[in-house]
Amino acid sequence: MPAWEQVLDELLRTRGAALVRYATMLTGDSRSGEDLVQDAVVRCFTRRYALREAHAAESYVRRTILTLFVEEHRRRRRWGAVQHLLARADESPGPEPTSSARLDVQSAVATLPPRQRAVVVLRFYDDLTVPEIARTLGIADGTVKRYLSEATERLERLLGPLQDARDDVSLIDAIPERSSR
Amino acid sequence: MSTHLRTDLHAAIDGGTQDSPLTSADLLRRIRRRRAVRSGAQGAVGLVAAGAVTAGGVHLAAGSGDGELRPGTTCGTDVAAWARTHRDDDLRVVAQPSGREMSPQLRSLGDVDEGREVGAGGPLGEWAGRTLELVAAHVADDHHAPGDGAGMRVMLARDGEVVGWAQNVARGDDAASTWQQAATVDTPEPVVVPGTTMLTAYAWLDLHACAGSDLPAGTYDVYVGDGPVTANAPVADVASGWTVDLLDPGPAVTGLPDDFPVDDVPVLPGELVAAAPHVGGGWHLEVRVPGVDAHGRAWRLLAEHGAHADTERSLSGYVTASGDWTVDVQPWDRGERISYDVRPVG
Repeated sequence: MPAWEQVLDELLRTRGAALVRYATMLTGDSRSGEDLVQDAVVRCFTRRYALREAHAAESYVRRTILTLFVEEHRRRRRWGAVQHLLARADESPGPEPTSSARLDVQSAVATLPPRQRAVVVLRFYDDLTVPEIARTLGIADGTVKRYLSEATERLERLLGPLQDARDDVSLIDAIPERSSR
Repeated sequence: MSTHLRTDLHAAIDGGTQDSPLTSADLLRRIRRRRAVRSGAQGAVGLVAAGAVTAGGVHLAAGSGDGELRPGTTCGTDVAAWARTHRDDDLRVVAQPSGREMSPQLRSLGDVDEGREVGAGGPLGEWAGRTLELVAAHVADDHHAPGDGAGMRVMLARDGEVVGWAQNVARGDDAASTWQQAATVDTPEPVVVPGTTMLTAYAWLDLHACAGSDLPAGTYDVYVGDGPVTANAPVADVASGWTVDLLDPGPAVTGLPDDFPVDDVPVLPGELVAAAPHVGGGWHLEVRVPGVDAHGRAWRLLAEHGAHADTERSLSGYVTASGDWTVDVQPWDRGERISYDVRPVG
């Protein structure tokens, strides 16, 4: 068995579920999340990079998940939001939660608009800085801050106080923006 | 009870079952097949062919196969007379330029406004380019089902005579566009027109002039023939009642920064409103551009100059032909302006 197939097998076995949950957090529904992960995995492993171990492969796949998510969102914007007209497929149940707290956060994040969702995941899961998020999504630093602030407000209405998120928003608001308009 | 967002997000993603819904068997098949294709594709061109933009794959490169798509009996047709005797009462058409929020007309398809059903005629807006971005809607019937090819022929007329045309050809699996079931914005339920279900199809339609190289600026009556058309097929039933305003694009933009890579990053004609350098290199530009189609035109212009998606070097935009810059174009100020975010690669 070629080395890359072994890496793929280990990646799916040990981190497949987590990758689907990550993608589901971005897309808002589990079916789209699964599709996104599959497309990302195919893209990464088709390119013959030396993915020698599952941990490195996971980082690359997660980055590609985000790229595809941004590209798809961009395509939807270019289609003038026609996608909103497509009948939503019956949503299959997501991964079984092991705690009610996790279900609440996942469901709450799913209610955010796509870019706010992406910003929340990039900030509070991937721990990217504001400039890094801005560059990743192709938006201004100020827009990232605004999305974080708005997302925090929305999430707090659903989940109650989010002290770490509030502290984070206050902290980044105090930092001067990287670029000017 | 206070929630710790960071901790709970990590728990939501990393915790829980390790049972992966993904199977390596399916993925292996796809990966092996693609690797085989890539090995055989020597000298493959970039991810986007020059002259086309991968926005849903419905763009017809203007002028391709000159004469192949000319619909024969359409140019010069007294389409107004034809429409009176071959009328399609079930087709609705609204404009939906890319980069803008869903148009109010699209949201209210099927509603009646001032005595006329939304989408059954009316102005389609002002377009500075010669590619229309339209959504067609039709009640579901034997000839219109989800997944069917959505062919569409658009005819522009003056005094009832066709002077310009565009065509979105549907050939089964090669259909450039397909009918999709429509749903309202707020609910996943299909839009219901009394006793029927409404379907929508989206297409970018390149306009061709029947005479001369380009349609001049002005107002045109619009007729739309629906159905799986093939090249040179005669016109069937048509719907009518729309108008479209074609604009002149205006003079080239002036006042760009001296070192702006104009050859690599072509900017639409318009009025430069703002130009600010980024600290890390690159610029943010805002350009006031006429017409509702500025966003789509900006992307098409970049693609014509070789800009292409490159996920290796740009997570958020496109990379120019030289490979030196990433470019992201967004509508700005409710679509009145276009912003260009240009940054060095790496």
